[in-house]
Amino acid sequence: MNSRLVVGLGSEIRGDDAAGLLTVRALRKLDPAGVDVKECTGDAASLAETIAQYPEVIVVDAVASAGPPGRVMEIRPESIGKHRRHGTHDAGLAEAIGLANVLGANPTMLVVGITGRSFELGNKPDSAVIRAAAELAVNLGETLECA
Amino acid sequence: MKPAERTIKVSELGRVEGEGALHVRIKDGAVDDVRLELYEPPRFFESLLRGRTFMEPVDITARICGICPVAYQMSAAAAIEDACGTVVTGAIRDLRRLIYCGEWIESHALHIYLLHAPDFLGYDSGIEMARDHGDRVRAGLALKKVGNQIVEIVGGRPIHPVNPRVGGFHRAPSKEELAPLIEPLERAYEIARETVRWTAGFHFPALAPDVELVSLWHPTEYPMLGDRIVSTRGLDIPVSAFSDEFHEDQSGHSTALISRHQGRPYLVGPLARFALNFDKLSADVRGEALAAGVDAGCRNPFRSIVVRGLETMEACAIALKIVREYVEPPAGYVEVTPRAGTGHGASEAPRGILYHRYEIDSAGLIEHATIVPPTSQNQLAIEDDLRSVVAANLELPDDRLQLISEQTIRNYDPCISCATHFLRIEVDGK
Repeated sequence: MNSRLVVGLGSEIRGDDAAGLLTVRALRKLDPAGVDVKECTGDAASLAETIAQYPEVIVVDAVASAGPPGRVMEIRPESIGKHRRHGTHDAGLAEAIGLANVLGANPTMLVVGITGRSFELGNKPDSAVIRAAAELAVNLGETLECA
Repeated sequence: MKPAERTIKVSELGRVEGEGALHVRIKDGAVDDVRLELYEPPRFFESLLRGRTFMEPVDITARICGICPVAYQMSAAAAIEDACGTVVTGAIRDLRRLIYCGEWIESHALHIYLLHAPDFLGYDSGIEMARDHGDRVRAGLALKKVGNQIVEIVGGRPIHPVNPRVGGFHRAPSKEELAPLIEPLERAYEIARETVRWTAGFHFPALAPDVELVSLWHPTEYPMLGDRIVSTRGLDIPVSAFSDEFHEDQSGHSTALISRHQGRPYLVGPLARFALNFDKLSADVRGEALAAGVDAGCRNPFRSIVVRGLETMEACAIALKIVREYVEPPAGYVEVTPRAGTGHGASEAPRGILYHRYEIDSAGLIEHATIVPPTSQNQLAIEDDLRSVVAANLELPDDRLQLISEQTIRNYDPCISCATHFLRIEVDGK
């Protein structure tokens, strides 16, 4: 196990929600040294446990935004809204980070968002999101190789 | 002075991963109305399956739920195979039970530690509970992780597994691939045992609903897969007779279908399985059950948290046995040739019986699909429980009444449970 993790979140059958998954799949092909690359499709408890194992974590997720799809942005972890007030089955990234923290893990976190437009069941990702995910993967790969 | 009318509203619930609401009205000191309002638009999965090939429901229906995809896959495969006259046995069937054990372990662990235990210990959430009970939550997550490992190794990935198919699995794992599960499962078994002992010490509100319990039945196994359905009122039918006995209808306050047995509420899930299959549990698990104060006569849904712990023990034991005795089959699946007909399949999802029925034509295209999930079967029983619990606790202040109402819903670990935390109580001082 490496000390750095890049984890992509999302659902591949909900349109632009696949942004995180597309990014880490592209990153995996680049095979950056010293980095574990994983996918998470919606289990916050498992995500919490995964995050807790690494001192450095980069999370890539889709972001619902009024702007155009495919914008890449850095998000402060503490600014992420909770998906459910007391998340259970359907908890989100905020709950996963919160649970990892409560259990004593405080990894250095970088959360990168890719804005999406449509998250409907059965939709394909927007071409701008696909392009952004591929570019982000290259950027992450280069950055991680240099770090 | 107490108001003449109080209204409890759970403003967001859902059928599977969606939305719904609970409405309780108390009038003149009595419970006047209880309605579980599921207002999420139907997800049209049954319609979506029409015209698809007989191979597709296993993958498509797995997407209905992120918590119990294996249940959807197993019930779909069983129904399609029934329609095509195929029976899956031996190591392939064992692998199906193994991946099902994984789903039970991860689902039960999640529910016990992050959803239900906080109710008993007075916390708003699993995260809050973890601040004071970090070791317990870590143990629960470790338990859950073993379930995920099983699903990942057998199913190809931990959520929405891709390896199951009609006839078995695209590829059977080797014995060497399963061997790394042994040590984690041994540990998980002991964590589950400790879970039972821990939860047995909780305070359980008194409740013993007189409701028919219904589960699958197998002559020698604690049921995950099975061909017969039994009940505490003497029902004993093949799965193919499900729709003769159980009927769904749509009430005015819900877009979800509500299931009844001969017009009456009934209950599926851990308590039902436990009551109807107590003799199929291992001697060790039965011993822990009795020491924890639960046996086949247990009807208190608040004690379902203990029963889930016992089922987790049993699932670990079953999985260990399968892994240790596993002999890789020559092929991961048996060929299934489509033929015109109707097939029925049911399996025991963590929350109870999940029934599928498919009509397919001679080319293997699906003409009609019916899916009856556990939560729609339990909906009326949940409403009845809420009616009883609220009636027995009318003297409680609003916040306490709200809490015990939420807890009552979570006894059933419905897939709607996420949103029950949005419960708001509204008091009309009329």
